[in-house]
Amino acid sequence: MATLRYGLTLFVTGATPRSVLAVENVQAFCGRELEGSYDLEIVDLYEDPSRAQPANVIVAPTLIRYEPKPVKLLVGDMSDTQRLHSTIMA
Amino acid sequence: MSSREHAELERLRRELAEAEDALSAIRTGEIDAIVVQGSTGPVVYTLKTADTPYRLLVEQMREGALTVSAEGTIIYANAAFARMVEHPAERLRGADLMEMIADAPDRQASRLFTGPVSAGRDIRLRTSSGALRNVYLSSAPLTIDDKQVHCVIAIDLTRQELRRRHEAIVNSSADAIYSLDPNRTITTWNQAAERLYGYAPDEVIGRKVDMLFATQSLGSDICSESFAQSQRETVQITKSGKRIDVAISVATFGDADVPEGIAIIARDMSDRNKAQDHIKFLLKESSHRSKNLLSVIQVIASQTARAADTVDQFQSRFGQRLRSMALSHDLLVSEDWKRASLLDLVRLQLEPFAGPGLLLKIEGPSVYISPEAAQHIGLALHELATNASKYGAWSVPAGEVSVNWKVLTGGDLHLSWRERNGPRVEPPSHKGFGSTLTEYVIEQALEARVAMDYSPDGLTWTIEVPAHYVPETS
Repeated sequence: MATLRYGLTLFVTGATPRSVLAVENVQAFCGRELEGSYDLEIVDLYEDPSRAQPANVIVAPTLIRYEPKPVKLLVGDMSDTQRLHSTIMA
Repeated sequence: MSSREHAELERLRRELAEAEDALSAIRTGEIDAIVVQGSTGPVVYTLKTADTPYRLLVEQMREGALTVSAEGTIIYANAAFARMVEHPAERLRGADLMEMIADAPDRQASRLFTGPVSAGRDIRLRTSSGALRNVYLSSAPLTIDDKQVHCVIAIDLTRQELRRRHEAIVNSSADAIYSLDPNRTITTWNQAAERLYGYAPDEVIGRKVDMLFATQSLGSDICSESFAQSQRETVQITKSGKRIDVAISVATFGDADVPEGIAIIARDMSDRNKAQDHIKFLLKESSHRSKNLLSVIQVIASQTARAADTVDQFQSRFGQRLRSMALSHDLLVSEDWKRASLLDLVRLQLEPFAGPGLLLKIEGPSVYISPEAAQHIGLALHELATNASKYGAWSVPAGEVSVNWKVLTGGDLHLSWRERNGPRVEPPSHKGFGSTLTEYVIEQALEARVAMDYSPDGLTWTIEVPAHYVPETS
């Protein structure tokens, strides 16, 4: 049986305060809850703004769960662990 | 509703919830940036919170920073500029920078903001209290929303000038002045510190101050409470390893809660301590000599009193003897109490007696005698001269006294007092103070050989003083 694997992309804007918080919060959550069964890509929109439109991202920070389906999205600094949990794992 | 329609409805609900989330996040300030599809592609707009660090930097920098319209209207000014012109920062927005410039020729925006980056110029700002402040203004053009403005930096030259003066004072100070950061690392080092410790600035800056102390604990003590705002003497080590006595003053600078560092002023006390030691030695020596002198005076007083018939006689004789002692004393002081010229001593002691018609012959090589010998020989010569004036050669017009000396083989000094052409001499019936001194006291005091010859044709007194009382001969 194939193991469940989470595909996540976090869109941030450089080292702005909420982007820094979002990166820390998502990494801490994944390390704690997903135990290696995840792929996390962090995209800096300052460096590559063209990544925003295909992903329908209009604000940063934004976290998108691509796998498992359905695709889900969360906006903000990811400090609300409950919402982070329901976006990624529910 | 079909199951397909149901699924579609579910997706739309979810997307709506996500969109609401995004809007709410924007509204509550939970995001940093918005991505907008511009005509040339996506553009990231950073929101207000994102530029906070830069804004704080500009707000807190020590130089004045402002954005000014092409005409000179202040769009933004930081706190440092507000302090410079003594205006509340919020009232500066919309104010005319040109009105704050004191000198009319500088009051033209075109002159202040020339070129891509203006080279800057010294101007004078008038503060709200009317005071004038020298400021260095430089600017760079900036485009905001297609509108041309100028980014201006104002440096307070008064502070810079003060700093320059402080540096000049510190560098010209005779005391070593250096500073430490809170970790006891040396951060500045003046020229006197270089002279005192022997280290060039690049040999000490960045190193712990402990290197200047004999022990590490002394080095850490310098940052302790007990050292703060105080002066203390301690021992430090120079580059060559020499230990030096220094007086150290320590003061912290910066805020009371967050000290930026410690300033140290160190004064070399080695010379002062040496001088103090010398003064102590002189005082001790002086006390020793005073006691000696007092005991000699005491003996003279009691002996003079014993021989005197009246108080007047005592006063006169005692006064003369004290003057004789004072003469020898003056001579010794002029030679730093180290030695006395025998020729000077003989002249000084005998000149008060010599007068018209009195014959005195002095002959001898240049000889210096010790202070002790000078005091005793001086007194002896005084007694002999007094006696000659009263009863001997100098009591008659043709009388003659000759004083001769020579240095014998082996270094002993031989001195003679010889009287001629005076009245016939007869040995005294009793011994007074004069003969006690010239025959016995001096013999014992100087381990000398003394001979007194009362020959009828004239008295002769000779003394041989051991070589160690004769430090210099030529």
